[in-house]
Amino acid sequence: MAIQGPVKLQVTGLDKVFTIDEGWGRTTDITALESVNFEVRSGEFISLIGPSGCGKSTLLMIVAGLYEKTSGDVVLDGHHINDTGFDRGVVFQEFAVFPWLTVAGNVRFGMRMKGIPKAERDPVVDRLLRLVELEGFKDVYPYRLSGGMKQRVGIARALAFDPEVMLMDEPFGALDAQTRSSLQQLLVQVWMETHKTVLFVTHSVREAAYLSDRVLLMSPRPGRIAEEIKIDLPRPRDVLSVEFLECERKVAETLAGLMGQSDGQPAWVTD
Amino acid sequence: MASADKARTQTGKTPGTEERVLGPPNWGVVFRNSGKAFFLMAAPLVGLLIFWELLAHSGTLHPVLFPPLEKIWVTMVDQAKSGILWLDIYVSLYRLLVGAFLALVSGTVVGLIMGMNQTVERILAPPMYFFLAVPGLALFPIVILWFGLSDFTLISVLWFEGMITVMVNAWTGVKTVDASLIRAGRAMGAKGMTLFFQVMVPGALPNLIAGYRIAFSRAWRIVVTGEMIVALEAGLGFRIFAARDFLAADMMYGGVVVVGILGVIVERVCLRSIELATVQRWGTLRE
Repeated sequence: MAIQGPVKLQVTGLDKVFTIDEGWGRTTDITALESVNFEVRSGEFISLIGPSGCGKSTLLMIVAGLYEKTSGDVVLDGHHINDTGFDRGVVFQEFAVFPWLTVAGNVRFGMRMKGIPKAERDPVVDRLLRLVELEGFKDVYPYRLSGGMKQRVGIARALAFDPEVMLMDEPFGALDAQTRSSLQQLLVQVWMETHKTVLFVTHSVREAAYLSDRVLLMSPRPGRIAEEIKIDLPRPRDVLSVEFLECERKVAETLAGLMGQSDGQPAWVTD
Repeated sequence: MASADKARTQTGKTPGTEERVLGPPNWGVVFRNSGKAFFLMAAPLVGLLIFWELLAHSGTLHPVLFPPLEKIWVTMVDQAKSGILWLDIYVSLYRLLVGAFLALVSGTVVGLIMGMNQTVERILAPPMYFFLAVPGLALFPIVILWFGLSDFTLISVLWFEGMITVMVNAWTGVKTVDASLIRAGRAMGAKGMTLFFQVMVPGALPNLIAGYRIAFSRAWRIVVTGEMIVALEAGLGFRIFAARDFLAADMMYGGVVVVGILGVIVERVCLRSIELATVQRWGTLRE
């Protein structure tokens, strides 16, 4: 089950220092990320998990090219990444669906930017909306959609220009538990169908264990990749099976250890 | 497929995708609702008119200062018959539309550029705030000095005041576009001018349209009051002010009513339609 494809994405010695303006000519430096190293193989599903404020979203935004890095290197398919690009599709926690475009218009947006001819766009839109189960909502404006539906537009939109890597920043964090689990299952389905490489930021242990091939655990600030846990279970996973619960427990205990809870009791993990 | 997947296909079928069957219109409900809406709209106006009529006929108030409705009506019909009313309406609307059009175009362009470029913003924001604090009417004496008592004077002030208003709103609009929408646009490959026109401008539109609304109503006020100051031989404001010389209160009241009705019509026709086509369709504005 472990994926042995070629290395897709490689992050080496990545640092991020935020300089905060304190006023009156004073500044404070905050080290958000310190020498982050990891690699993602082609077709792999990787989760980044860690306590809030550990810099996992910052890391994802740097890979997306939306934030500047302070030092280090991000390499995707041999290209050094310093800016946004069509080789990466980003899904945001806030959905960030454009309210002035219809569902289809949102999905088309990236393709338009990439310069894909008109005639080729529509079949892609239809296929992706079917994939995220939104056929019939093509001409609807986003305000009429629920949160879960908006995020499905977000996923379809990020897939539309056929990126190499999907970068997902706590995409289900703002959804209720039921919608979240339904979207997690949908994501597994989409992932199995599209064979995309996915880098997925989450704060939920169960979500990370349910979705990923590998879970990368980050330490509290300054964020580093502290541990790595392989989840070698076939998909779709049964979240109530003994094997799954063991994996979940392992992730939770390791995370609790990183948080400085020496007894290793992940009492704070309820999700 | 595992049980979890099966459960989702059973319960997760997206609502609203199934075919909806609608019967014939329910006229009873339609009439009741529109009747109710009309009553709520008309009742306060009718009440006000009745109150006025009672007061005018009660004999406690001077009939020259508070003429009854029928007298105002007759005066306005005379004005309409002689063609003066239509000339006044035409001239005032012409001034409004020319001034407001120039204001909308220039204010939008300058405001958007301010939102886009920080240097322009820093240069233009202080004078913008300054002139925002100066009532347009206060500019009339100066502008009359420059251009004399002409249409040009009136339209210049109108344009300037409207432009400042639209500028502020266009600029704020760009500044308050949701950061996550900008990130999404950039992540999907939009840069520079493309990002600006595809994300910033539509994102700024709710504010921009709000600005148009304020600018229109301000411009209308300036037209009417400006016509009193610049005294241009025609126009609704001029007529109201001129009626003072003849103690023609009925003409004043009639003029004020026409000004109000026209203002509402312009607002509803011009601006509501832009709103309906954009922000209301997107659900970023509710009515």
